[in-house]
Amino acid sequence: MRTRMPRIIACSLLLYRWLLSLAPDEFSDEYAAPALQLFRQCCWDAYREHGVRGVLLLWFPTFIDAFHGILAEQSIALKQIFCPRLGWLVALALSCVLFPFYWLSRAWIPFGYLFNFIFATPQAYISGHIILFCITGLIALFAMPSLRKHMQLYILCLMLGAFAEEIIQMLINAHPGLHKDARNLLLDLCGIVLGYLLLRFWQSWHAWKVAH
Amino acid sequence: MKFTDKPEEMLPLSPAVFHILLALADGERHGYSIMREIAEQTGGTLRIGPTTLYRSIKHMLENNLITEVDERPDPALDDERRRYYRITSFGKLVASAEARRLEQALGVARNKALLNGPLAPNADGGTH
Repeated sequence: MRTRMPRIIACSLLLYRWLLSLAPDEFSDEYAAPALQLFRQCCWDAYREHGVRGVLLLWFPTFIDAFHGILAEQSIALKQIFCPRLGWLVALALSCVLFPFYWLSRAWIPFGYLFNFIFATPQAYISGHIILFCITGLIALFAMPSLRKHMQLYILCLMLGAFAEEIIQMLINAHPGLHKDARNLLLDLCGIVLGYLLLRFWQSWHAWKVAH
Repeated sequence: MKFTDKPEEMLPLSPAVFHILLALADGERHGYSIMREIAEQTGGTLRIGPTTLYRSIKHMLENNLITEVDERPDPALDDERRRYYRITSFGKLVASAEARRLEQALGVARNKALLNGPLAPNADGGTH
């Protein structure tokens, strides 16, 4: 006859399973099940020896160990993702995003003519923002192939770049144009998502071409 | 840890990795058995949690220190979900190199009277 699992063990396993779900997929796909099985066995041992108190005493060291291990695995995974094969290209794209071109257009007259010619209309301004972030996104995805599997992380990183750009613009222009900033951020987000969709489209097209 | 074929380049090992290698030195074991063996070897002073155990196992597999065993000692008696691990010949070399390194450190500690002299923690007859 199978022994019914005590509630305290079931609860411990639930918490530990949740903690393990925070680990990177590469780790949890392979080792979450055996780690959970091992913890279950430890819980049963502690329960047989000291009852509920024994299981509760297991919580602190096990959960601290899990938390520390998961952080370490996440940091390894992030290092692998952000290890660009073309670091100079990423640095160039980032400097293009962060560089205050509007300030340069005012400080350097010939550049100002070119800048105002390109961004003469509101439509051109909108297109400029979208294209800049679309290209930056494509460069990031091209230079860091592992980032392609992590869409949320890709959007988060590029949006941090967009925020940084807006802050630099705000500091240089010395006036907070919050409604403009919000609109710019929305345009940047469109460019970032467009970059990702273009890559997905290219990947699907390439896969279709290989299949046929 | 990076993959290398020179045992010395793997040193120093973390306590968890060294004790897992020691636990596997005399035969194949599964995770729970490794954990119990380590607790026994160290008199309970080193207790490694399931996450550290499997993180160490992951890195040891990547570095060819241990290998996963497909066949089981007795499938009828054993839980089929259990994974068994075995030390590789390279893992044995690394464990030996680490043991020599620790022996050398122990020699230095002895020469400096840290083990038997007045500075020893249990020199007054107390226990650890």
